[in-house]
Amino acid sequence: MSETYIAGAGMVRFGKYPVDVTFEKLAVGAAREAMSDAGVSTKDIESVYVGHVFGGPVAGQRVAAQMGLGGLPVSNHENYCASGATAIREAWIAIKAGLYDIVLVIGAEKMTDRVSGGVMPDPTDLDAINGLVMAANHGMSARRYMSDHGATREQIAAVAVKNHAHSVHNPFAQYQRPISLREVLDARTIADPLGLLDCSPISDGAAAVVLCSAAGLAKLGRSSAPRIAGCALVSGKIVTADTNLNDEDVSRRAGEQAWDITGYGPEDIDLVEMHDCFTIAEIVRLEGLGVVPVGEGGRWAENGNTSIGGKLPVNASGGLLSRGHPVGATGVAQICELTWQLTDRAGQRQVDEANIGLAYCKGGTVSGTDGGSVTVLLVTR
Amino acid sequence: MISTGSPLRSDVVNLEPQGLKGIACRMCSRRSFPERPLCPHCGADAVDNVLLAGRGRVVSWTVVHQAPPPLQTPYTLVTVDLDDGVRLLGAATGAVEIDDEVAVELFTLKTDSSGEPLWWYRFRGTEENR
Repeated sequence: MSETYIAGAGMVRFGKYPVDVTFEKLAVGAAREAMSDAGVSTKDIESVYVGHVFGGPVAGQRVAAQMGLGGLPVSNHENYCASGATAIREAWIAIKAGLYDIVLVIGAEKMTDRVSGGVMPDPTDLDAINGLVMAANHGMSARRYMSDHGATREQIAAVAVKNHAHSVHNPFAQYQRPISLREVLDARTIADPLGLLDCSPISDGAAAVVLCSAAGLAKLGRSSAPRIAGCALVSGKIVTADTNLNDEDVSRRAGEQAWDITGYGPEDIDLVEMHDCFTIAEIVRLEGLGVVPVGEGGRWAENGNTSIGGKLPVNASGGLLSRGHPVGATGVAQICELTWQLTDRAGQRQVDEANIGLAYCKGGTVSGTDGGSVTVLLVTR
Repeated sequence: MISTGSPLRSDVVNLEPQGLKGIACRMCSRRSFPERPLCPHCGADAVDNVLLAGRGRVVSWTVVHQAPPPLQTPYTLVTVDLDDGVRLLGAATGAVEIDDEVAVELFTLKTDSSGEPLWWYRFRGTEENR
């Protein structure tokens, strides 16, 4: 089975775009950047994988038809906020199976003209009838975490301060200005104790990568590129009473699958792109994965352990909180960031000795379970 | 007594007696919410329909201040562990704290096209917490 390499990465800046900047336009923009970075032309691409949630039917085919990739196998992948990472995993499987040597993966989303007030579960899900906005789940998580571990509101807010500080140096980030702890604490409440700056924004944007086999890499005349060591995917399970609300069994299972596939362990990870859709989510998911001790995540954010230059830099890109969160694009944007970090192209947000990176996405909720989908992708130099 | 209307979803709410519907699995012995043909824990189809415990404890809570229309804010959501081992989410009326005891109650969430009430569930703090 072939190894899978990341030959090129590209993004369009995440943010809020006018109506005439369509889903297709965003996706094509990111795809062209990734193809240019990889040095491939349209005739080199053998298959196209597109992750999105709100793009509508055959969005991937609409994109392919815009850029001379019509006729190829094109597939659309929806796993809510893990859609982009799931598309990458499907491409990784196909390359490992020997089907293709060079493929294009795009994550894209145009949210600002389709979503307002926050994202929710599917209307048929019981939790939607009860009014479960995503922020509410994380508000309950934060309250329980503070109660169980004596964590402070300030420690949770420190995640937002850190991630905004990181993306000051990310030209693709929606927000590129630092914020103070006071701003996070004083922001209007969304789902208490969490406020506006504890929540990732509703964003437009796209990210893309060109993945290839060893033969594909040779065809491009490249001797090296970051390698996808493995892609884990799990789904949520029914949770019973007397389970800690922040047990994060779903994260633990995703991590264990990733360690099994790659042979690496939590102690090997140099940097993490973590799905910080909400501040508290970064904390409890790092703990669930086993890369931060349980109950310590708040302190790690506060004391700089998860800052660039710290013990385990998390979200050097700014994460979802500050890079922005066009849901289907996020998983691919994480891999763009790891690609740039592992090839020393991350500029002023470069993490020293970035050799093994981990990207985590969690997508959606299903009533009664500990989540929808969770992906863990490991990338090495 | 509920004399008019119907459950918003018949797999969730029972009107007489009032309560939440669930299943008990004959294979793995676990209970779950709501009523459905297969056990969500183990997949077995040997399940008995049951009325779930009417009381439980608050695992955590939040007050939602921003939500998409037609939801009207603020409202309180709670995660509750029922006394028979089922965890579920619901709205709460009145103030609650972690570990408070709460009881299931039915209320009219909306009406159908002919104006008849559609019943749903929520949680209310019990005397024990006062």
